[in-house]
Amino acid sequence: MSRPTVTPTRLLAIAAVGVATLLSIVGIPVTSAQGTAVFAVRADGALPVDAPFDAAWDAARSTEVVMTGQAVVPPRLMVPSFPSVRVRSLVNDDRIAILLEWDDATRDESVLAVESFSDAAAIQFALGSGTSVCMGQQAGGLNIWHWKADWAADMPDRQDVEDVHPGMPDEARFPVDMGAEGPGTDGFLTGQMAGNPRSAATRPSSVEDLNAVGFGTLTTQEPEGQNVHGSSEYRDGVWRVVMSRPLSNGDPNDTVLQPGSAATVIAVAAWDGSRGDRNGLKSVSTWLSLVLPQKPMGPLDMWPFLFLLTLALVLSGLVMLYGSRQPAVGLGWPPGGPDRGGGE
Amino acid sequence: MAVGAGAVRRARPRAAFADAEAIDWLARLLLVAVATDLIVTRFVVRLAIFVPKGEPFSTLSAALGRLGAVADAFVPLAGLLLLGALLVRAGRTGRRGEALILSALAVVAAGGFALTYLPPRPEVLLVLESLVVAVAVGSVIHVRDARGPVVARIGLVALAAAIALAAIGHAVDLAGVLAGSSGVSAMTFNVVGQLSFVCGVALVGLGGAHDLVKHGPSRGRFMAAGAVAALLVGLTAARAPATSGAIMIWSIGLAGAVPDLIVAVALGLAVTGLPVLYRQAPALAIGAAIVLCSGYGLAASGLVLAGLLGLVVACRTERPDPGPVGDRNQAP
Repeated sequence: MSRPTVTPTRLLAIAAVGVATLLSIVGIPVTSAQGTAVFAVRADGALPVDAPFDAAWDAARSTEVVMTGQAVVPPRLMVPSFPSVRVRSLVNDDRIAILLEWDDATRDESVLAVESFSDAAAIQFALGSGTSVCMGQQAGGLNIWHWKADWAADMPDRQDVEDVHPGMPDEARFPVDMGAEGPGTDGFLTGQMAGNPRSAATRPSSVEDLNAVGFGTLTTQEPEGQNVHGSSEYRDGVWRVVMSRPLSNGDPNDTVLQPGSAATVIAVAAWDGSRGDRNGLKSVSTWLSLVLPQKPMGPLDMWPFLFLLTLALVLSGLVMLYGSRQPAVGLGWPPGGPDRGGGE
Repeated sequence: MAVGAGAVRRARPRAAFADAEAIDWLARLLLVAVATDLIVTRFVVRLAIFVPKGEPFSTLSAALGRLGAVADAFVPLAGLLLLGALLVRAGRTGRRGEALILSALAVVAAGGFALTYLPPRPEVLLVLESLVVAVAVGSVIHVRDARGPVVARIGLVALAAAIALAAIGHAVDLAGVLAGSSGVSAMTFNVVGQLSFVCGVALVGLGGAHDLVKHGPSRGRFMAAGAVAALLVGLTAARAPATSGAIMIWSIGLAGAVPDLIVAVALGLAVTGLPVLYRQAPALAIGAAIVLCSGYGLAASGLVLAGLLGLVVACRTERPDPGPVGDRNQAP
C-alpha cells in the first residue's frame, strides 16, 4: 500500500473521529431511529374513548409490538406472557386516545384473594431524550398510564373482600357516636384514610397516572393530576383497553402531546393475572415512536425534506463531476490488465 | 498529461480519495466503526443494564456508554466518507448504474439525518424505504461479476434480500397508514427477512469456510473462533433465553423468528469463514461483514447507511477502467 494515497484519507478519518466525539459530548445526534412507529390518525368529532370495539378504531392502523419478559431486575419474567400487543391511536383537536389490544385466554379482574392477580397494561412516555426504557432514570423520567382490570371492574360497583369471603366477620368500626370527631365509621381502613389509591372507595378512572425516575421510584400523581380516562372490554379472548387524555393540560408531570411536533417515545407493558404477573413480572416492549398527525400539507409544505434531499442529489452530482475530471490512475486496474481474474 | 487530437491537456492532481486503496481503507474503517458500534453500543452497553450499578460497575458502565455514543456517532460519518469516495470514483469511471445507486444512497443518508430533527411524515418515510429497496436490489444486480465463491455471493444476495424485506415491511406499514387501512400485516416480511438474514450470514461464512482446507495450520484458529462464537450464543440462549432474546433484538435486530441454535450456527460459520473469504475476495468479505454488523431491521439511520454501503462494497468489481469521462472520446 502506497502511503501518499492513504494519508489524506487517514487524516479525514481522524477528523471524523474527533467530530463524532465532539458531537456525542455536546449531545448533538446525527442518526435517527427508524424503529417501530405508531401513527396516530386524526379523527373528526368525539373519540370513541368509551367504546374499545367501536368501528371508529378501524380508521387507525394497528402496529404490532413485540414483547419480551422483564429480565433486568427481580422479580424477573423470563418468558413473556404475551408475544405481542397491538397499538393504535386516534387524535382530535383536544384529546388523544391510545388503544392497546392483546390476546388473553383468561379474564382476571380480581385481586381480593391473596393468590389472585389482575390483568393490567401500561403505556410509558419518555419525559426527556435518552431516558432508560427500564422505568426511567434520574436524568430522564417517565410518565406512565397504568390500566388495571380490577380497577375497571370496580368502576360500576366496587368489590371488596366480603364478596370473596362472604362468611368473614364484620370489620370492627369506630362507634357511630364518634363519627363527627373521629375518622368516621371506616376509621380502621387505614389505606383509605391515608389516601392510598389502591384502597380508595371510589376512583375517577381505571387508569392510574404515575411517574418514575428509575427502579423503585414509581409514584402516583396527586388526585387532581389523575386526568387519564380509561375504558376496557374483554371479548372472545381479546382485551381492548383505551386510555385517553386531553392533549395539553399544563401538568409538568405529564408528557406533552402536541400534533405537529417530533415523535413521542413510548413503550408498553402488559400483565397476565392468571400467570401471577404483577410488579416487575411483566411483558414489556422496547421504545416505539408515537407520531401525532401533522397538519395537512401539500408537497411544497415539506420543503425541509425536499431541500435536504435535493441538496444530497446536487452534492452527489458535484462530487461525481469532480471525479470525472480526475486522471485515470489508481482506480484498481488489476495487475496484468483488464482481467476479472486479477487481484484486488 | 493526456494528449488528444491537436490539444494538450494539463495534468490534474489525482484524487487519492477515490483510489482503490483509499476506498478499501475506508471500507475497513467503516467495518471497524460498525463492529465497534455492535460490540460496545448495542451489546456491552445493553448488557450492562442487567448488572447491578454499584461501584466500580457504574463508573465502567458510564465510560462504556460514552464510548458507545462516540461509536454510534462515528458510524454515519465513516459511512459518509466512504460514500464520498465511491461517488468520486463513480464520476471517474462514468458508470451510470453505479452513479444512480450511490445518488439514491446519498438521498437515503440525507433523509435519515433529516429525520433526526424533523417530525417523521409517512410519505417521506415511504419514499426513503423505497429507495432502500432500490439500492439493495441495484447493488446486487452485478453480484455475479463480483469476485468470490458462488456460495458466498448467494449469501450476499440473501443479505440484500433481508435489507429489502425489512424496508418493504416498513413500507407496507406506512402505505397502510397513508391509505387508512388495517389490511396487510408487515410481520410476514419481518419473519422472512430475518430468515434471509441468517441464511445470508451462514452462506457467506460457508463460502469462505469450504476453502479452509487450503489454509493449513491457521484453519484451526478460524474453526476454534467460530466454534467459540457459536457455543457462546447457543449456551447463553439455552441458559437465559429471555435475556439473550432481548440482547439479540437490541444488538442485531433478530426478534426470535429464527431459532437461537440456527443463529448460533450461522454466526459460527461467519466467524470461521469470513477471514478465509477475505484472502480470496477482500471486498466481498468486508462488505458482507459490514452488513452483518449492521444487523437486521437497521433501526438507526447510520446503520441503514452502513448496511447499504456494505452491499455496494461487496459487489464492487474491478472491470476495465474506461478512463476519465472527458477522455473517453479521445483517441488512446
